[in-house]
Amino acid sequence: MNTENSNATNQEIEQEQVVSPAKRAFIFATVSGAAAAFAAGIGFVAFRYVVTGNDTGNDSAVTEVKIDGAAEMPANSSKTFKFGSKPSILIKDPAGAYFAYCSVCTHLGCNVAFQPDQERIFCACHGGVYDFKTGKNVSGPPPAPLSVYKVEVKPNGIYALRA
Amino acid sequence: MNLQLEKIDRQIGQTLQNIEFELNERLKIKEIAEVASHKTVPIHQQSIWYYFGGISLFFFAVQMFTGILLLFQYEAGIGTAHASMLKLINKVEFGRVIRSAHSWSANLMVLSVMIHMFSAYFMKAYQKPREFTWISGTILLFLTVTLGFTGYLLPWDDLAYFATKVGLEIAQTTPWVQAEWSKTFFWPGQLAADILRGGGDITNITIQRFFGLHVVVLPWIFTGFLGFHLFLVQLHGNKIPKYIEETKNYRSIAFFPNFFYKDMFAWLVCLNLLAILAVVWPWHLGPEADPLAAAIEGIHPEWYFMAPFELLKWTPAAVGPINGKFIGIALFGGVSVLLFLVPLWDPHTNTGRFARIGTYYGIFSLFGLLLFTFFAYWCLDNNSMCNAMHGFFPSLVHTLGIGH
Repeated sequence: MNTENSNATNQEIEQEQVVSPAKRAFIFATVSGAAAAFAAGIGFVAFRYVVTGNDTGNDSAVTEVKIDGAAEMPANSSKTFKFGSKPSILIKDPAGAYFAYCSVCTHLGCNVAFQPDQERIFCACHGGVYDFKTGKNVSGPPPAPLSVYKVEVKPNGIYALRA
Repeated sequence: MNLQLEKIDRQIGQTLQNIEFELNERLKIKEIAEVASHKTVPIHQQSIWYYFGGISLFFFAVQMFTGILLLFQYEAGIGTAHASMLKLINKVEFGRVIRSAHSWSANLMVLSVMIHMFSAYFMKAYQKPREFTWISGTILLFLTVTLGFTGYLLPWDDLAYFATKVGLEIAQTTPWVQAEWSKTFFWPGQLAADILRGGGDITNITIQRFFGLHVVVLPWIFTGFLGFHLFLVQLHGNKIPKYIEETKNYRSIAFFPNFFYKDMFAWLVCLNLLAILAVVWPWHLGPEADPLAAAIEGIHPEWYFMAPFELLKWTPAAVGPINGKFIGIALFGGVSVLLFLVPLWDPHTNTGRFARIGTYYGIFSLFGLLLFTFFAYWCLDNNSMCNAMHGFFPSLVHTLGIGH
C-alpha cells in the first residue's frame, strides 16, 4: 500500500469539499497582504541599513591647505595635492603665477592633467579641455568649469583657499 | 577455472544490477534518461549558432573555478589589493596563469554571450513561446557585464580606479537637468552610486562592497537566472529559423550523446584557446591606483564598453537645460532597452511589417555597436579627424544657440 498516494487523495478531497471560492479569495488576500507587509518591513530595514552607513564626505570643514613643495616648482609645471578628500592640482605658469583647481573633471569625474606644451588642462578620459588660467571648460564634453581655489603666497608657504 | 570466472562475472553483473535498481528507486534515473533520450537538436546550415549558449556556460564554469582559486590569494582593501595581486603574479606558482585565465575568460564570456544574443535575435528565438527565455537571457547579459564591471576595480590598478569612477558617475547622471532642484526628483542614480561607493569617494569600503558583489551576490543571482534560462531551453528546445523550418531543410539528432559530444568538442576548443591566451598573453596589471594622479593618456575601458565610451565623446556638454552626458547614456540605454524588449513589439509573426522592423532594428543595433566600437579605438590617439567628428554636435547646438 502506497501511503504517499493516499495522503494526496485525502488532501484533494479536503480541498474540494471544504474551501469555497469566497474563502479561497479571502485566504489569498490575507496571506498576500501579510507577505507584502513583511516584505515592506524587511525592505525598509535593509534600505535604511545600506543608505545610512555611507560617508558622504563633508569637506566644507576644510577651508585652506598648505601645498608642500610648491615654492620649488619649476615654471610651466603642475603638482597634485589633496584638498580635504578632493584630488586637486596646482599649476605654475611660465610667468610664475599660480593657479589651483579641484582636479575632478566635471564630466565624469576623472582627474585632469595640466599639459604645459599646449598650455591647457586636459582630461584623458573623454577629451575635455579647460582653460588653465580660469578653469573654464573650453571644449569637449565637460558641462561646467573646474572648481577654483584661491592661491595665497604666504611667508611660510603657498596655500590653496576655498574660493 | 573458466567456471570460476563465469561465476565471478555473474556476481559482479548481479551486484551492478542491484545498485542500479536501488539507485533508480531513489533517484528515478531511468525516468530522467527516458526524458533525456527524447531531447533532439536540429541540424541545419545555421546550427553553428546553437553552440554559443553552451560556450557561454563553459566560460562561466571557468570563471567559477578560477575565481575560487583567486579567492585564496586576493586581499580586498586599498593597502592590500594591489600588493596581493603582485604576490599572486610573481610569487604564487601558476598565479599569473590563473589570473590571466580569469580575465581572458571573462572577456570571451562577454563575447560569446553577445554572439548568442544576436544569433537568437536574428533567428527570432524571442517569439512565442520563448519570450521568458529571451528576457532571462538579456538579464544574464546584463549580469555578465556587471560582473565584468565589479571585477575590474578589484586589482586596484590605475585603470581600475578611473573605470570605476566613470562607471559610477554614469550611474548618477540621472539628474539630467543641470539644476539643483532636479536632484530632488531624480535621485535613484545618485543614491545607487553612493551605496555602491559607500559615500562620495572611492575608498576602502568601495573595494569591499564591489568584492562582495563580485564574488557572492552577483554569482548567486546569475546562477538563479541561469537555472531558469536552461530550464526553459529544455522546455522549448532549439528554435529553428522559419525559412529552414518551412523548407524542412534540416534533420534532428539526439542531444545525448550526439550533440553533447559536439558541445564537448566546442568546449575543448575553447579550453585550448583560453590556455594559449592565458599563457602567451598574460593579462596586464597596471601600477597601483593613485586617487591623486591624472588619468593617463589613451585611457579606455574594456572593448565591450567602448561603444558607449565613444558616444560620450560625441555629445555636447548641454542641450538647453539637459545634461549632455545624459543624452549619450539615454541614447545607448534606449536602443538597448528596445532591443531587450523585442518580444513585446515583435511578438509572434515571422513575416510582415513588425518582423521586418525587428530584423532591421537588430541590424541597426549591431551595426551601430560595431561602428562606435571601431570609432572608439580609432580615436584613442585624439587624431584631428576624430576631434572634428566629436566637435560636430557641440558646434551644431552652439550655432543653433541651444547649448554648448
